[in-house]
Amino acid sequence: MALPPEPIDTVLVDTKVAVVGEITGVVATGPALPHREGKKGEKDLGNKAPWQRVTLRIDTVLRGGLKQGSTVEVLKPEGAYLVDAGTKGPFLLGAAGDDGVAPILGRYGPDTWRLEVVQQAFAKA
Amino acid sequence: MRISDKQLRPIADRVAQTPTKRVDDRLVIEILAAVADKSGRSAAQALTELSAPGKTRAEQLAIAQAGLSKGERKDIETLLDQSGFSFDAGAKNFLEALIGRATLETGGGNGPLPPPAAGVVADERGIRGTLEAGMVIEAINLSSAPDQRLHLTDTKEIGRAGAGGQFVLDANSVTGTDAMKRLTAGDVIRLRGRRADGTTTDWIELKVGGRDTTNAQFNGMRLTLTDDGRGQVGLTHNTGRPLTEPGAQLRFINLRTGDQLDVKATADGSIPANLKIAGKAGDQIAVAVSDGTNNADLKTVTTTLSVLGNSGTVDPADDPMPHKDEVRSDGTPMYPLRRYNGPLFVNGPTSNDVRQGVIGNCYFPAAVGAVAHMMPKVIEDAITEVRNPQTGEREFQVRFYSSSGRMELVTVDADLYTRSWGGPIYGTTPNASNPDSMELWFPILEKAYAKWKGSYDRIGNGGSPASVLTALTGKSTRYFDTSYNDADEIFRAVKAAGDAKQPMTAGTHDDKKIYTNTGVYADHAYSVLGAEESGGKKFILLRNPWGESEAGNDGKNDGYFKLELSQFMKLYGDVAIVR
Repeated sequence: MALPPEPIDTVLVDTKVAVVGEITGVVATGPALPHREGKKGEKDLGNKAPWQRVTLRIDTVLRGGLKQGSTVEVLKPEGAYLVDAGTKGPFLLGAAGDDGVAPILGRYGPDTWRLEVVQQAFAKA
Repeated sequence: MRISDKQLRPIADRVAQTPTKRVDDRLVIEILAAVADKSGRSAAQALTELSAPGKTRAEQLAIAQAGLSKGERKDIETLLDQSGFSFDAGAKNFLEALIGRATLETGGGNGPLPPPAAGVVADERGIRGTLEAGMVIEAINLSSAPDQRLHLTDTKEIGRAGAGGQFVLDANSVTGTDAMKRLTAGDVIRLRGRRADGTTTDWIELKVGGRDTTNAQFNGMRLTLTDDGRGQVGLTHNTGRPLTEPGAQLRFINLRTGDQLDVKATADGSIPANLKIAGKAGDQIAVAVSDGTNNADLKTVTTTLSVLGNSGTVDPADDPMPHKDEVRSDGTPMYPLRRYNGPLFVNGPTSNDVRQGVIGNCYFPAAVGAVAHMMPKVIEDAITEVRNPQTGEREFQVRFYSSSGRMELVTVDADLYTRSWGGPIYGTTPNASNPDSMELWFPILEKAYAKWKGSYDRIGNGGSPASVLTALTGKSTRYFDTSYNDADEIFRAVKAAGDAKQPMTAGTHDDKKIYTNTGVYADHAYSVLGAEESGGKKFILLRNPWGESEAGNDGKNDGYFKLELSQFMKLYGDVAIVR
């Protein structure tokens, strides 16, 4: 769904960890979700991509206790984007579940806000 | 992977559908029960026996081995060797011992499992208990729901009760969806069983056991604060989705007057009706929340919200109803209308004035931005400021063209659905949080389009930018498909149209994988602003109707960018050009 990014202030509240990193692999992908076909030229139909469990290499830590150079498993929730090995950028991560796997926040994951936007938001918070 | 045993197959299918495909000690007990069913016991009896307090691993293994058939042995081998499942050490040893590949380890942490309780209990390891045999179990985490786009009835199927009604669900298998985001100590879980005929048990609410270090959430976007004109501010939960955790303690503090209001959240995570606190429009209200354990003194403020002016009620004759996501179950809008008094135009309309709001109508701002860029006079001529002959109030007459070319006029006022947190919820122009200075033409145009089509819902679930180009200009469009038209042909058409000031839009594909890290977004419409050649390369000039988020980094993040033609052909599926 091509909605604008959420205001970053509303997402920072739930951000436990923020890093710059790169996806190194996709561990698992959820089942395909129902797909709505539009008429010719129609956009913003709201189809969602499935969840993915992925490994994320931490290149820089902006906030939180992860170690630079380490790799963690994270959850890309159902939504408007997919990731793959090589996907990089700023990742905001929410509270980890019982299994220690934290969800990626932001409507478009690492493409939701530029790094400088994230840094400015942290500086302001 | 082929599992022949009908008791084992559904267990394997269930594991295969989990994100981690993890098999732990608890799940292995279900496998052992499925195997043990040929030893004179039913699977349900075996599960009860295997789960009995004090039962050792050796005794559990013996029960399973007594019923192990040749086919089941093969199935266990398949699970171990071909499934790709992730076995915990103890679970793997159990299964390998069952088929004689390994000796059973009895020490360490591989002890017998806790029995399912009478009723249902949860801790951070999982949810277990007893309902009716074969019931599908569905649940929602009420503590994490306020941050999700969920109603409290949006439960997730988390498992199935066995033949004896018992179930032991590992935390990994029940979490990871919006409804069951996590299983954290202190969380409130709402759960019920669904029978094959569709009927259900009553809801069961349980608290996840363990040390609670996570405070209740509060979603400030779901609360509207309105000046009632009599020195009081009304607090309205503006959605059917939860505001906070059920039973949470809330404190509202007027930062100007110091007035405080303490409220306990309802069982549905809402607040009681008709709540008021002393104050007026423009006041800032701080909100503190506690789950009773964390932030118990309510000293830490979660969020601060602004009080809106009172703009009366929606008049269906004048104001289009909101998108369905912003309408309560009783049919009333969740957000109040607020009167905006800014100028209709500031230095004429431009594409930079256009900002998409919270509904799925990118096709509309993309087309409007394109017309504003190429034919600003069309926009200026389409909106006429008038006075209501009865009330003398400021209104706007907006002209559209139907697909058959018939001109139609729609009259709207400058009341826009607005949240306490920020400005209008639908399309805006820059400076949206100031009701006295925001340039009005784009939100007025969108409001009139919503009224013409029926409501914001009618225009907010996808659509065609070409139809909006026609509605604004009265002209038909040419359509280019990047699968059928070659790159040079499209470049020539866009260049010629740009030079001739013909509005254009382009749309991306719905294949989300190809867009990651490109700065371009799937299933999205863009304004096309022209084409150019520089340095021997061909470029298409574009604008994202969000007014931000673009390919490349020119240091502005204003939505404007250019793409090399080859990249444009890969990422975009179609171009519409006004004739």
